[in-house]
Amino acid sequence: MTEYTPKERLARVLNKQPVVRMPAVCVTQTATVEQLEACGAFWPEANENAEKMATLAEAGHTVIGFEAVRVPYDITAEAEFFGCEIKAGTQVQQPSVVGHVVKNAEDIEGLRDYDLSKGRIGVVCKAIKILADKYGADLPIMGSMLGPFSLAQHLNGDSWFMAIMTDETFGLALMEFTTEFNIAYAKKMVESGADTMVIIDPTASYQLIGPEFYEKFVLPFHTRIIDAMHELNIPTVLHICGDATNGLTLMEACGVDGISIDQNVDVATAVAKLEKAIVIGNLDPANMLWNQTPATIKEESKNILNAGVHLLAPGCGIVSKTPTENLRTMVEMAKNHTY
Amino acid sequence: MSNQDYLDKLRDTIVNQNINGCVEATNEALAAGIGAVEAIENGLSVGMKIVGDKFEAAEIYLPHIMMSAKAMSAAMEILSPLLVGDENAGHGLAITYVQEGDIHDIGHRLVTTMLGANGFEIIDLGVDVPNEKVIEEVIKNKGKKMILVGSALMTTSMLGQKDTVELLKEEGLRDDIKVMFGGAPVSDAWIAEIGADATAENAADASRVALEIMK
Repeated sequence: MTEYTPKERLARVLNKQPVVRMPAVCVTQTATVEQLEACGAFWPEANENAEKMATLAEAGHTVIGFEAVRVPYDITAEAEFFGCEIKAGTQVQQPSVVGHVVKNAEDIEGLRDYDLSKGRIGVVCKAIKILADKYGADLPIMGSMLGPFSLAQHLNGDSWFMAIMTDETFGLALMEFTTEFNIAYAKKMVESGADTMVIIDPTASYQLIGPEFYEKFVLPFHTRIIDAMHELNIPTVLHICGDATNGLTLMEACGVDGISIDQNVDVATAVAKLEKAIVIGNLDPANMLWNQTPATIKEESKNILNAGVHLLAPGCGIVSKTPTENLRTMVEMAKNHTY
Repeated sequence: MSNQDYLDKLRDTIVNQNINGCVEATNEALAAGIGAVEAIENGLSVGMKIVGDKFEAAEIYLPHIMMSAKAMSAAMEILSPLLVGDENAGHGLAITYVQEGDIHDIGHRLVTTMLGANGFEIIDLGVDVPNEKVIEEVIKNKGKKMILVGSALMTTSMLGQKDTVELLKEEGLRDDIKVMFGGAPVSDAWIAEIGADATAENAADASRVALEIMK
């Protein structure tokens, strides 16, 4: 029997190649207050400083037992990079986007000249480099970024949802812009040592925008990002929140290797619906992982594993106050599962 | 045109997301002698109800519902000044807000619009609202029939809802107000755990639930 490194094991699972047991990974944000305290790299510094960001990612592996390291911990670095106003995070809270910089097509032109080594985009890439140097031989190094549709919403504000209906030319122009950025940023993360790419695109929810807008404003752009990653042999995962059940087929049409679903999606249904992509999820981060006991988490994990999930993981970003022992329970359930 | 024709036109401009048409229809209805309350209750709100139902049935999506809400707001700008002093139109006061640390206001704005459309007086505290400010507003309006409608789109900001309820209890205000929370991570189990009154699946459902618990 071949014994794979965690890096090889995850790559094989994402490529639908056989392995004996399940890797224990989390494709959404991993940090918790207990990890912050254990490793001494605290929010908000760990969002802004590459060394601290890497130290906190490492805690996901050393403290919790995840068989991968992953950065960053929030989804605002991209909007901040383009000048959106950010409300600073705290020790227990991620930062959030509060101001927007793109009102029209002209504003897009003003953003075209960017330098990926700058801002928190640069910090994330540096953190990836640190992690890859230390762990790259054995552990998967996951880079995560906000997807193009959600980034467009961060740049344009809530009127974005009306813009895709009333001003298609502008809507498509902004999607072109964000997608080009996403591809350049993802390539830079890969150059820095990332071997798995996670696209978090919560706003691109089928439940919110429906099939027509998804086909026009999301699918072609996700496809381009996935294609660019596949050219570099990098497997990709797409996370979209909400009840994505009816949108799963459209979501996987971009060629993505794994789809991360939240607790509103029935795992067995997702497994049945998806033809190519593997199913990742979907323990409820708040009502299960944060607020329940290891015994309950064990039971629920069993249900999810029995439903045929390919990677047992949280359904969305881990809540910062989640107890370590709860997360360790999930990790053990994954590791003990043979396919 | 009969009064019903004017009301139907108001309804249809909402359902068809016709913002300019809705303003026009509102002015026409007023010119024809239809009162503001009548225009809202039997015209615009009927339209928003249809929009809500279509959203629930996945026939339309957020872009459409936001356009309808925009049409509704445009009409309300004309009609609100005419409602001043008209106390009998309402089901009570709804204080709406997004929890501190959270600036996701789409759901919040839709819920606020739908509640307003259903006859609630609205105090909209906006996004990223600290619990202290919420309590202050409740104290300010003590004695009124009130419902607190908070939303949190992130699991992290949802934590604050528990403190909201506890603060209401500490201040002895819990019995003065109904408390309703919504947002993607909010579940029935969470509502029960923190001692709130209700949650709802979406904006359309929220107005139905609010009417129900305010009975």
